Amino acid sequence: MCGTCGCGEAEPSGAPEPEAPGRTVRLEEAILGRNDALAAENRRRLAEAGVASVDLLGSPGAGKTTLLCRLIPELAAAGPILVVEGDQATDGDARRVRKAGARAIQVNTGSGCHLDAAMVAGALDRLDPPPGSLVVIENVGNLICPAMFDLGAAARVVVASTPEGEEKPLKYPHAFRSADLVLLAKVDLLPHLRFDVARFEENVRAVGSAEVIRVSALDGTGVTEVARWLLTVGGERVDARA
Amino acid sequence: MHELGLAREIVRIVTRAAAGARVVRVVVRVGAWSCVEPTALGLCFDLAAAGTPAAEASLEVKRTEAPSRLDELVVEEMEVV
Ligand SMILES: Nc1nc2c(ncn2[C@@H]2O[C@H](COP(=O)(O)OP(=O)(O)OP(=O)(O)O)[C@@H](O)[C@H]2O)c(=O)[nH]1
Ligand SMILES: [Mg+2]
Ligand SMILES: [Zn+2]
Repeated sequence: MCGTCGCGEAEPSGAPEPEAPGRTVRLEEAILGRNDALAAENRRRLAEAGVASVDLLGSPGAGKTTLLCRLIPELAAAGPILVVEGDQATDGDARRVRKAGARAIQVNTGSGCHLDAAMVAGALDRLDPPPGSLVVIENVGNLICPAMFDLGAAARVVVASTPEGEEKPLKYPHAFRSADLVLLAKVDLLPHLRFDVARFEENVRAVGSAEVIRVSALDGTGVTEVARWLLTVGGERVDARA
Repeated sequence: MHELGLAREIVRIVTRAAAGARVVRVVVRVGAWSCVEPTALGLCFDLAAAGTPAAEASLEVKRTEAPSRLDELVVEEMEVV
């Protein structure tokens, strides 16, 4: 049979032998398996040390660092706050949170668009968080790939700000679906925008199950509520110590 | 460009499993919400595979829409000769 079209004619002699058919090997292996294993190790290590942890995700400029600086004084009474700041370049954010009262280290990812579990493991080695502390990991401003990389934090908070529009959860469903808490930031700007808060909340519910808290780092709206939520994550650190 | 990092992981997974054999085809499943651009992944795969036993391999990207698998990123199978 002719190997080219299956027409049933005898193959002309002298034609090259068709390459031996390959062997198919079933793999079913997670592409991010190595990152996931490292993240699981970070999670285990934090839980064993009695350390609470949260991963902050959001677009560039959503207001993650400004909010964190407001939260730090509210959280400090419950135990030390340690911050891992991820940015492609600069250490400005680490300096800002240090000024607000946290211990912080900056991780620069260079051309990388996200933190990964190995970078966080390295940061934890350097921070060596004491029992009862809270580790906050501020990811590189980006709603796309950080959502794919588990870092090993106990909870994930996604920050979206009002100027970004109501459709963010639908445009970046992976990030919002993976969130344990969604913060709608910069609500002080609402009078100047045409932003439909109810529609934003509907869109969050359309892709996931995270609760939404409205916050403003400028006028303090929601800051105490977020601090309380983070201290619930903190409740786990007390349990872990017991 | 997270696709390059993912492509490197794919190459690492298949070349290890191939144990020296030549990899001619790789099939991956990519969930619809997984933030992976199939064309970019294909280009990055060629870059990452250069000089490895998977250098000649074609990459087939299957997009999965099943609700329970929207986030998945899996090397499904490969063909070795
Ligand atoms: N009106 C208003 N502006 C805010 C608020 N929070 C932050 N901003 C402003 O938004 C800008 C960005 O804030 P950052 O806290 O640096 O944002 P970020 O999410 O940490 O940014 P990256 O780390 O670069 O991704 C700054 O100019 C802030 O002053 C807020 O609640 N209200
Ligand atoms: Mg910041
Ligand atoms: Zn990316």
